[in-house]
Amino acid sequence: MLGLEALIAWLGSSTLNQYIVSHSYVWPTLESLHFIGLSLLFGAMLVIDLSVLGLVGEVSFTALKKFVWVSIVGFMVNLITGIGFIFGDPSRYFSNPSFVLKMFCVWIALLNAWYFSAKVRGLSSQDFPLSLKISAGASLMLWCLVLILGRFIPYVE
Amino acid sequence: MEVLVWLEMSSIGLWVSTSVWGYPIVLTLHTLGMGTLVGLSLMIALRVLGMGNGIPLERINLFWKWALIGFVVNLVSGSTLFIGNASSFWYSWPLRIKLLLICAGLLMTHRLVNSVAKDSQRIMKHKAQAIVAMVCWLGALIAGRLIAYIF
Repeated sequence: MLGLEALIAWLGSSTLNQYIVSHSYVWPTLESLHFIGLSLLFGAMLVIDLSVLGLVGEVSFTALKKFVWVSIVGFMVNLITGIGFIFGDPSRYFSNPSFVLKMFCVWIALLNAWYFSAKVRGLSSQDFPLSLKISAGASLMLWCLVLILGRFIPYVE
Repeated sequence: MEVLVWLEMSSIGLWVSTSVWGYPIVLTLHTLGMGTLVGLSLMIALRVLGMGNGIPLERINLFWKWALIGFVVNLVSGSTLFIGNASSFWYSWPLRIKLLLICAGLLMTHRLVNSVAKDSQRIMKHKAQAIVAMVCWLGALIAGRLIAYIF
């Protein structure tokens, strides 16, 4: 694919790439931030999904709304640091099967989260319908999968 | 030290360090456990700091129980990773600092969960504890990342 090669070449010659490659502190800093973002996203996801599944007692969704924002903050941190990784080592990711699958799972997980938030909007009681519980279960599995696939990126190249 | 070499040469040690999938599988379990333990501990601290008031404070011990499942996963997976490379991990300063911060984080969050349910009046004390716990967990996470970079 010519488009992809051109993109990789552009990323590799960018100022950001030069900065990341020539400063040894940047990569471990990006990794630490990526793991902090992971903890925020994963922790908030657990609070919401375990609650909806009824595994931590009865909780109304209005109580959980703030944690949706925490998960969005965690996601944004990881989107930004993830883009940083791609700028720093552009030839590594696009052809890596674990990365490609991870990005696919991220999209599905985001679509699921969008479905979840649309579905939950009109609810006033804390009796969550089955469709919402299935969505919460799917969210748990998808984000676990995202994490697993991310961890496997260095081992399948 | 001889014990460290003996650990590395044990069947578990060799499985982690020489098999194709041993190391990535255990490392992945360690990351899932971290997301659960650190993630939920941070959410507990944020709740004590006033976020998501609809979740009753007496309820946060249920979240702590889930977090401790993550701790058990990481105690086992972390020990396994250590055994695989014992003679270099033993001297790792980031790992030593990480282990201290995990002990502090566990102690702080455990005390926080217990005292917040019993005595909801001492809000400022609990908030201070929550901030200390968060700093411990974030410090442990960063120190853990740096094990791969600082020898």
